[in-house]
Amino acid sequence: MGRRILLTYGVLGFAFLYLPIAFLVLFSFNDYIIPSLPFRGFTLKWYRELGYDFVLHEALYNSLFIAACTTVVSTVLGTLAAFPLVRCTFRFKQTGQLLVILPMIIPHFLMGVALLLFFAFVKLPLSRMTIILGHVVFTLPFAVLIVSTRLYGFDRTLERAAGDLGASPLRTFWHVTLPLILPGVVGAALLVFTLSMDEFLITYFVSGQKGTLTMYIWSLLKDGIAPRVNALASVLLGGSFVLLLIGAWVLDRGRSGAPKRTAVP
Amino acid sequence: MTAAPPDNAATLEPRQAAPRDTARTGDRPAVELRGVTKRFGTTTALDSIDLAIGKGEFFSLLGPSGCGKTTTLNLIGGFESTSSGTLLIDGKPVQDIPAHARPVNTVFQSYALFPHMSVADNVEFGLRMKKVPKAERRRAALEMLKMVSLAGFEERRPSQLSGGQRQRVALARALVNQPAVLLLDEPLGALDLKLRKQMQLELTRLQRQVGITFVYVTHDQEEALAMSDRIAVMDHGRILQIGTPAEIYGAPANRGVMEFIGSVNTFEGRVESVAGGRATVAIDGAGPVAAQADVGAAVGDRVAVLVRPERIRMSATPTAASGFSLAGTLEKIAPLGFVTHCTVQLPNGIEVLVFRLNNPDGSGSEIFAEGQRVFLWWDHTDGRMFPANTRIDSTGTPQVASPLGRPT
Repeated sequence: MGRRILLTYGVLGFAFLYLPIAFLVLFSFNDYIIPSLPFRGFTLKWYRELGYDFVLHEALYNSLFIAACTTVVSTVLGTLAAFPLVRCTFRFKQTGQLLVILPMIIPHFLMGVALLLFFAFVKLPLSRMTIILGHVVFTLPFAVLIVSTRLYGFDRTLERAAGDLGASPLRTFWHVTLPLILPGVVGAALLVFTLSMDEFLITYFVSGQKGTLTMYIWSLLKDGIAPRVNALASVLLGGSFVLLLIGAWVLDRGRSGAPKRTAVP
Repeated sequence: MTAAPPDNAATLEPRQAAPRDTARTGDRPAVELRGVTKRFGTTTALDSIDLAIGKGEFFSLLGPSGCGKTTTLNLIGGFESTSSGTLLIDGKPVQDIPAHARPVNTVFQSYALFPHMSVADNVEFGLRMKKVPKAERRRAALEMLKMVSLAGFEERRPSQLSGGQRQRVALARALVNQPAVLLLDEPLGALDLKLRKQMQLELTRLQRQVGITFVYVTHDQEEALAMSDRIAVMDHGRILQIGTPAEIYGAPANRGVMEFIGSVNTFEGRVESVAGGRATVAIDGAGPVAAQADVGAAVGDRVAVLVRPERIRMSATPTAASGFSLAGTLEKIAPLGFVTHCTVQLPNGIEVLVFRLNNPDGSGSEIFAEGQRVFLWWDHTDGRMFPANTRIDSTGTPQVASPLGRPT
């Protein structure tokens, strides 16, 4: 009896989380201009329509380009920043850590306004470049945090051992440190990419003429919910799902290969 | 109870001098420290250490935690830099050479195997850094793994190995580089007792086989005594004594060494008489005992007499053989297989530990019962006399030890 109640409760919980997404995918195959029940037959024409939409193609290209650049810049900077923030002791270290994390909790709306004012002040014309800069600002804390957790569990005796075996500091980093924190770095990259693809508010403020995918979808929604949006969202969902699986696989591989051990002082 | 007399002073002196003029090896030492000092902020971890380790020697640094033994190892390995003094490896000063360029390899306490590499890749790492061709380094690694009885394990990950096996991989990974010196930082500390005993034997066998100088850090005196050619006993950043295991145990240079190595009974009292190498010391509240008379012991001096538990004889009746006997009550008998530990309480409250060997033929072993009145005595050569006020933390190095601390 008790098990039954728990089971129902669990099913309802998951339904609340995933039912909207299931409907979104479902309606992307619905042969009717208004996404509503009853289901009128299976069609792929909304997907086909995506293929003809050149504005969409440009928006998608912009989004991918921006997300890729943001991922590279944020992941590299975040990894570099994580090392001193975890390993070194210096004055205002805690303040430094706080300042790095802070952009995570600043509302995107405020950050968008602030960036717009700043770009106007330094007379930087709005472009894909400014969007990338904006995205780096808000994704950097995530990258730092994810790489840091990996570094906190890192046994530094391993680096000493590499040095002892004749590896210079650079080769130690390449052969020992980087492979061991790679799951963290890859995880950070995947998250940054997703966050950048998703972002709307900051992008809206600093985008200028260049529209991204999120902005395009928003413009479509102004004329009511088009089935095309459903199809597009389903494609994006599928893409995210694949990325998620890759990420999980990489993290899992890293974990099985690296038993954690605290450093010997 | 049949071991050689402990204070074989004749052999102690030249052996202690040996590393300095390297008469032992007839060659320059593998590692030499000259007046090496290491400070961390305001604390002095090493206080002007002089040390010379011969080629092919199994040398142990022994002492309680915080004595400076690990710091010494880190200095040799290049993980710390000296504050002052000269550090030579193979006759060349190495203070300015970073760890990765020194001809030294280390076996870490935590093994520090690279978890993302196979066993073979771990062992090959040092050769790979030296840009040895792939085929050649693979061959060397496999040969080394065979030597540590791990043939067939080369494709495993370190996480798939037991503690003892990881230990062997760590050894192979260091030895394959054929370093001038191998540093071992309490490498057996994480193993259980049985495995530790087995690895002790294996390490000494391996060391003989490869002929590489081993510098071994441990706080386990039994381990050091069992494995080493020579031992440096350290405390508070200083070396108390350097010598062979037999010298360290049988002829400790000072009270600190004697109290740190093995079990020991300490009696404090005043010198009553000195005659012909034999001193009589009146123990506070327990009557006179005999001790070896050393230079500088004058009548009336306050001294401590230290006696090993296995050197004390016990009988049910007083004996005249040694010229003295201490009366006491047998408090506790603990049979531990081949040896029995007896605790005897003296009238002044001091508890004396007596070890009695259980001979298989039962000869010479009286039967005692707990609560019984017993008498203790020992040969005067087994009672070692040190100034009463010296403790392990105030004793100096052997060179500056007070005259009482050195056998004549």
